[in-house]
Amino acid sequence: MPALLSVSKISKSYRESTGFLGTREKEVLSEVSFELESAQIFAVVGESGSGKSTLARQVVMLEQPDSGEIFLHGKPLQSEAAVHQQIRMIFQNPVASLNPHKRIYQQLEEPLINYAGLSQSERANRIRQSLEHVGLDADQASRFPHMFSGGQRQRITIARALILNPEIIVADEAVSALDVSVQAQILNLILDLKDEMGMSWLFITHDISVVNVIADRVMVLYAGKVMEIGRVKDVLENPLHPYTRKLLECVPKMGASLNMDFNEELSYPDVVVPSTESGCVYRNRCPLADQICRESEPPMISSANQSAACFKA
Amino acid sequence: MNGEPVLLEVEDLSVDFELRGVSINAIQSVSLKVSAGETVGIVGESGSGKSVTSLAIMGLIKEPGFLRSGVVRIFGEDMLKLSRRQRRKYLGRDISMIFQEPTESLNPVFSIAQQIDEVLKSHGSMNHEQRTDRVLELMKIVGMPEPEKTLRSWPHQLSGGMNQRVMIAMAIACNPSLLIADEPTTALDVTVQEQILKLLRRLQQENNMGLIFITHDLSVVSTIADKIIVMYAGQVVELCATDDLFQQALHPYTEALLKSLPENYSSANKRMDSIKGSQPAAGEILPGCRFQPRCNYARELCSQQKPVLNAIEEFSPRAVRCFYPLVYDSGTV
Repeated sequence: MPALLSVSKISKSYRESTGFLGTREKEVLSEVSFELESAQIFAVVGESGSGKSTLARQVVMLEQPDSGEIFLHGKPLQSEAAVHQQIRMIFQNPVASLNPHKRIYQQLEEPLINYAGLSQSERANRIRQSLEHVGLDADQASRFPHMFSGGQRQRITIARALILNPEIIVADEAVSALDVSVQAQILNLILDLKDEMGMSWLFITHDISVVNVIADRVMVLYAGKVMEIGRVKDVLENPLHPYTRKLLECVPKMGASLNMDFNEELSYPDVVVPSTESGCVYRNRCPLADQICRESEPPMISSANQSAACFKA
Repeated sequence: MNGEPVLLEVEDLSVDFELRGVSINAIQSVSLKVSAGETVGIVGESGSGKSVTSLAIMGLIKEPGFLRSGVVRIFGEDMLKLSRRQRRKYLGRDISMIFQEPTESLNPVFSIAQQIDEVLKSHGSMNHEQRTDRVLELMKIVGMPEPEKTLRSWPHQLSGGMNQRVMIAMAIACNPSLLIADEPTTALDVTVQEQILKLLRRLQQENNMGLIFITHDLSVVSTIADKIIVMYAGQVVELCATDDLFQQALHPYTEALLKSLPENYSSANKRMDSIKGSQPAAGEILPGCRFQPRCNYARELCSQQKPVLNAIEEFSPRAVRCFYPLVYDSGTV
């Protein structure tokens, strides 16, 4: 049986300005492949500039990849209208993703009018169900967004994503703007929806510590390339790629003081390697990099539940 | 810290905002003390009043906000009695601040060099040449790659982490005795965050600077602070040395915050511990404890009377605003 969502070697480039009238192609996603199974949460982790949001835009068909294909139930994604019913998206900032001038009811009704062709009473029913699923009181539907707290607004955007009974929800940094206590509530809600409704999630985040809580499988992206992919348990407990290890190391641990060495040269990792050069994209930041990493691009090396693109893995 | 001079003393600081004729309390009776070389972390969720506290310290509360009560002393000088002009002599020189969104805090139409130079111009007596040297020196201190080239660039050409280093360079340009950092690493990637934390720590130890580190992230603050103040709905609910906090939280809110961190998740229960409900809305006045509606340990008294911040002598510096602090309940200490 084919996977629910299968992404096969997709690449995407954008034009980038190089100065007066000059432009060049910049590759932001390079041959990314993964599979999302039914009733699973697949996490994509990466820093800013890793291409994780670009990936989300390809999956929900807001953009077309330059090459590669995306399959839903083994069939290539084709009509936008169909995809917009089966794959819904939630964004980072719940305040910005709700229309401040419209009542919650109207905002939840909109996808139903556009896609579902239901009668008015059926729509009202769906809206009620959907709000109840995310733990909100259906009587609050006549309110405006500003009357809700940040966490409640994120629940509303999740309710709006649920309302067409999609198979997949793409969540782009859906908990990053929330306070920790609210973040915990929303993570629990996502897990409940997965268990109770069999919903599948593509969960995009920069925060690798959240992945442990929520995801079944994880993919680590760097500069548009897959560094490591596998089961969460394997990747987080036994990371093969030096970049995954670095990400895990940098997560501040409760009560552990900063590892300070005053002779250490502080180096800032924000210089992203141009992908046009040969070799591993991570080599300039990698403590293990040597000759071979500069000369050729590392292949994906796979074991049973985990693969990493590294010569040193 | 013992023996070090006290840089900043805040006593009983309360700020209200007046909206449509109703005054809404933003922070209530906040007190804190920072000594040279000490890092004080202020932790709280959005709406807890942590940023209002820092703005009030800097004297930056604007209409419709106003100071209801309180004293802010910097080197013993009462800041709030000074005129705007007199206060400006201190701000940016002796006490300076960095903000969460570096890219938004910088002026998009001035080059990096001009913006750092501006600080030196308004406070120092340096001539043009000395300032140029100092600007370059600052870029090297904050570890900017290719400092000469970066100085000629504009904020939009730099990444968030680089802009945050420019902000830090501006903040430390006049060797301040006290630096207030309001969520300085929240918008940054973890790998960059680690480096910025190390940079702040290093600058602080080299100049014996006092540092107030404001964040919503308990794990970040635990790596850098000596003392932690936990705020909830405009009040300080717990104050203690960093190590003690992780040994045993006294306030139920602190305990709940610790439990809702992803790193404290155990796969055995399959779900995160979260705090039920949400913070009281601005202006909502409760007869009792502000955390009581969300508290797992609340008893009758909690909804009737307001708890005060009680110092606990045997674990100085430690204080908690709770009728039934956890430690006494469970009898573990």
